[in-house]
Amino acid sequence: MTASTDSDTTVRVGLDVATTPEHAFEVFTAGFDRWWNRDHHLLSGTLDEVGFEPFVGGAVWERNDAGERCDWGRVLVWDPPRSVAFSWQIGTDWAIPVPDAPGSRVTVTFAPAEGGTRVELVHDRLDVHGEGWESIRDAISREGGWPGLLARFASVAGA
Amino acid sequence: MQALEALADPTRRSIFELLGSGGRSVAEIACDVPISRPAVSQHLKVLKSAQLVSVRPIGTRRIYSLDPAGLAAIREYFEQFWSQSLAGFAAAIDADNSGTKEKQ
Repeated sequence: MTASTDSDTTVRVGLDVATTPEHAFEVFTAGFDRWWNRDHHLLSGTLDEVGFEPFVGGAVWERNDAGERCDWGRVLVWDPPRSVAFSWQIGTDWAIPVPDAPGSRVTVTFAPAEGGTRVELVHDRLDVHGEGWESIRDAISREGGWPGLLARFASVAGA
Repeated sequence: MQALEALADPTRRSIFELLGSGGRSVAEIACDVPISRPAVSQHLKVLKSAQLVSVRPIGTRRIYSLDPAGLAAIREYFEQFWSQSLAGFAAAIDADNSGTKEKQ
């Protein structure tokens, strides 16, 4: 896996996987819940499921063990098996986004390569999480219960 | 130390994420992270040398926070996040591949 930053506001991570673009796209999207890091969630309680709605404008969402749902992104591009893009409203503090919070953008492409598929993930427009992020933070109620989650994060082993 | 390297440590990452919700003193950080104050200070020293956090005095207290002046910390954070997450994605594909082999 390679990671590089080619500008102040973009992160690129690429990797090769030994499968078809179709399968890689399927695992990334329909299988989102299979590989998502369980310790990364916004709602209180335990993460039950994360998912994509498979169409442009669809929600990227999570649901906790109490059945509460939180949408934290929107599908911007849905072009199986070539690419998927979605907005990302989560800052580094993993606070629940305020309605219409500005989002950065995640674009993932799947291209046939020797021995499998080249997957490139580009997370850009990261400046939306910089400027003004403190005011967004302050707008969020401290009663959401999420700070406890961060303490638990410390126990993540090597992840 | 590189920012990415500094964030590879789970405890430092948890401190970094904690500071994402606002500045805190060493004592306040030690309340939320299950390590001692001296250990918190050591981790902060590493995060500071990697230019991920900055410190400013407020009265007699020293408050640590993410440096909002630059995007380096945010970028490093997401780089770390996606590198780890995509490793999970690759593992899911590997699991499918080995499952397919078993069936054959």
